[in-house]
Amino acid sequence: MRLALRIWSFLTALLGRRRRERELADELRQHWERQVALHRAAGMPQDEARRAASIDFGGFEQIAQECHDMSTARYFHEFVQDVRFGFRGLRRSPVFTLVAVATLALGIGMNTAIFTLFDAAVLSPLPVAQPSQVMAVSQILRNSHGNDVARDVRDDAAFVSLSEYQLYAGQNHVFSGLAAYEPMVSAEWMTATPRPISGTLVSCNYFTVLGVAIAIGRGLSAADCSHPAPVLVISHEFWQRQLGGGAVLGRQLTLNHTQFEVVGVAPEKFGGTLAVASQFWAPIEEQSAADAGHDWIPDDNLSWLGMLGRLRPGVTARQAAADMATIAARLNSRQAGRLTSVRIEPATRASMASMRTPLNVIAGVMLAATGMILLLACANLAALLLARGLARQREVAMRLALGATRARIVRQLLAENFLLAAIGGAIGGWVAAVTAMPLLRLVVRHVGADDLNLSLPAAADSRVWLFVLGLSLLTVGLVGLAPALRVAGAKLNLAVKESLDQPPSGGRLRGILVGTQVAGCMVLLLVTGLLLRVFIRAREVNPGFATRQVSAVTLDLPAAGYDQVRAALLQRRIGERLRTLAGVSGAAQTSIIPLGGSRSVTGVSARAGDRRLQLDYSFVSGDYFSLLGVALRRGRSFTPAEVAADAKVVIVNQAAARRLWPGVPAVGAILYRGKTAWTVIGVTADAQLSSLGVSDAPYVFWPASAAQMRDVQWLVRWSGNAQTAALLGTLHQLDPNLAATVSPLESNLEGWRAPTRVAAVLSAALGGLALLLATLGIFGMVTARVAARRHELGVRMALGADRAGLMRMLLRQTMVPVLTGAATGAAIGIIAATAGAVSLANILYGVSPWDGIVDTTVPLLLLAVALAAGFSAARQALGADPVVALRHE
Amino acid sequence: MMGKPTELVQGTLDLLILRILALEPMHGWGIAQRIHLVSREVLQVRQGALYPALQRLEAQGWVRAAWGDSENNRRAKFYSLTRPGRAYLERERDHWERLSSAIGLVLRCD
Repeated sequence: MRLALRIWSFLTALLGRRRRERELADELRQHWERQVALHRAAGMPQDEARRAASIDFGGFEQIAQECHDMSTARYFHEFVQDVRFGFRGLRRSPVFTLVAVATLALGIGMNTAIFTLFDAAVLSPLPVAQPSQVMAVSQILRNSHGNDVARDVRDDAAFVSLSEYQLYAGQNHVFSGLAAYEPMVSAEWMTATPRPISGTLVSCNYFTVLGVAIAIGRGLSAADCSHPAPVLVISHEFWQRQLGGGAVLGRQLTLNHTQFEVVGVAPEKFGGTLAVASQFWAPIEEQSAADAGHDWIPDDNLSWLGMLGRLRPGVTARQAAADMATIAARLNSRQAGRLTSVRIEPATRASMASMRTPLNVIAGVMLAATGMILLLACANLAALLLARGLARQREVAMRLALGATRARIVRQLLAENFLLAAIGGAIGGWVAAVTAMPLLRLVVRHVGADDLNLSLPAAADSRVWLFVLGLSLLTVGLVGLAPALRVAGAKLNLAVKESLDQPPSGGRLRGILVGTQVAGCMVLLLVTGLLLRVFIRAREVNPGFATRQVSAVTLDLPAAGYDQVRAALLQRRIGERLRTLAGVSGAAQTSIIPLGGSRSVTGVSARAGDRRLQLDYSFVSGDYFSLLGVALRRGRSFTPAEVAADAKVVIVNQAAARRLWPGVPAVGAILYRGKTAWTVIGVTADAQLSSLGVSDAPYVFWPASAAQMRDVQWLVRWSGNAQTAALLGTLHQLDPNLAATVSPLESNLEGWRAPTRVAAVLSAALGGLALLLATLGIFGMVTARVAARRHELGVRMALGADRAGLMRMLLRQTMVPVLTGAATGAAIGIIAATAGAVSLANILYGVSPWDGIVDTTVPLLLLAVALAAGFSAARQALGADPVVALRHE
Repeated sequence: MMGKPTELVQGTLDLLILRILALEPMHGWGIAQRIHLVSREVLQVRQGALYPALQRLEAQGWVRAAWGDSENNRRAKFYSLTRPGRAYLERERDHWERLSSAIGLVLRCD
């Protein structure tokens, strides 16, 4: 009540200053008239009554001012005054204003851009009705001690099997609906030229639970799941782009040889519940048609479905978790050794832990880097403001002497900084928030992921604007407070009389600011140096196998409806045709395309029951090694007879041989996978088949036997240029319905190198910017220091001090904070490199984080730039005529 | 005769104004007159102190101002006590009475 009244009085005071003044004048005048009337009644003549009333009254203006001082609006009006004052000050020095605003806009803008993307992907709620009620439900499995509960995982370890989902959905009391989904299902869409299509398999209550209103037609209904029929809902984007946006209901789409009927189109703003857009939604029951060749539905031991639930009104997430835990306990009682817990969190586009964790790490690293830049910009600006403030010290001292309070002066100086930050923040924040998404799309395209459809909110939301506001205010605090206090704390008499022996004011603070800048700059430059090295290494790195004149041919036989027998037949015919094709010098089979992005991992051991070594594997034909130029160090490759007979033979690389049989010849040794024994017949050189830059990863090759024929791809070696069209034509002749893609193996290398190029370019830009800021900062420091001591320097020169000596003194004073900052920066860099060495190892292509630190190029470059900035500023200052300097003031 | 109210114990003028307003809503001149009369013409509140004090009381939410018709049919600004203002007055009056009787005891002791 009282608070409300105060706020009301404040607001009315604020808004109606004019009206209020008029009213007060009116009120006071009435008072005066009554006083006159009173005197008249006591018998005074008119003139005398008026005079007496006026004497009683006192100064009219004074009362009005006192009234205003008492009202709450005072602070606001003073603030408006300060801001106006600040505006005038900024207008007087446009260059300073421009530099300051640009610096801040850049710093704030970069941070905002990164935060906008992070917000869109991780923080913003789903594009569904009342998103705060929608929870992501995760199941976490652990083993109780001594019991081995094996579990297969697709997409995310927190997912559940279909039977588990049905139990959770049927027995809980806390969700008005619980939906399940299998994300990112890719199928082959059979048109004249088969195309990949990516969608989501969902439980039939999916659209109801999420409250997504279907744009055209209907969503999925319970009947679609109880009487499974191949139906699907397509995305608005898919309908417009791929189907031309015409009549669509009832249209048949063939996915992997199953005909699906389109029953609805999702609304335009709904691209699914992930950051990657879904093109269709089909019932989970159609899983074996959509993920051709696999049947997950009966597999109770496979985590493949994510869960999203809408809380009943009034139920909290904590209550929901407790209820779900009782269901989890029921699951535990069914399987010995199983420990299940359930986690419930508000659903976002990054609900899957397997997505969120890397996103958080990337955003954290990026924000740290751009935060550093903002800090540098702040330090620089603080130095600029300090210089400006010192130039105004006399004015400040004069006003203090005239009775202004220090608090008021600090407020006034802060208002100017506030203006700078507000303008810089508004420009930088707005530009960044608007351009972040297009920039992201540009980067995505650059990395070569054209077909990656992002489903992110198009516009920045209130969180982003709050971030910009908070950052701008923080900037004001960082930038402005210290110089403002420093200036307002000026000693009165000293500044007014500006004595000859005045010490160089603000020198220590300025030194600290420059030191901070140099330190931050050093860290960023060291990171840049490291990333540039990584980039160069990634370009030069030899993967250990031939990539030139080799094409990867990818087929999807399960999608085309092949069973094992027909697949084996087709593969044999493909092999025959490929080898006779003009320009082909060889063709080999493999289940994994080298560096193609997909991997198979298994555990093997040298003795049955031993601890298993986790390694990558593939099924290959005997000519695989000669085609890729991977040397066999010991033994031999598979013979066609061994491949045909599915013999129990295996080839390992040297890294695997070293780990499994240290010091013992591997050829002839026995390798165990589970309880099956395999004889090692060959040892190959180490090649970087699964990730570029990792040269000592163990790898195992099994023969590509008849059982594997549905899943193997082809590698084709050309004697001249690749004849892609002829190759595709040949495959088309063999089976017109077969979806096949042909790509040069070299392009896989590009996929690995692009991220390092983006990182290197980005950090080089940041590092360059930091260097520029630091240079400006150092230049400013020397100039200001000389300006503050111009008088003293002039006297010294007039007395015959030599310029070289003065120059040495100035440079020495400059380099002390620079060297301190550089040492601090290097120390931070070393600590960070040591801490990050392990976690960064697999993106560094074998470059040690220490390489970048130990290298002296970066520190020397920074010191050289600092010296040059200091030297040129000092030279300029000392070039002035000593007589002019003496006459100054 | 009361020259400057600030010579009184701090906050006493506020207390007087609130007490007068507890009787009925009143305009500024009326408040000054009423204090003058009730104090048997000992206290005279100067405008220079009265209006800033009213402004302060209003900003603190103890007093509310509204325009109304005065006894001579002119529009005048009437001040009235708010509920928190009344509570404040009660508290302060108790406080003041304790204080003044205590001072009286000290002054009368022999």
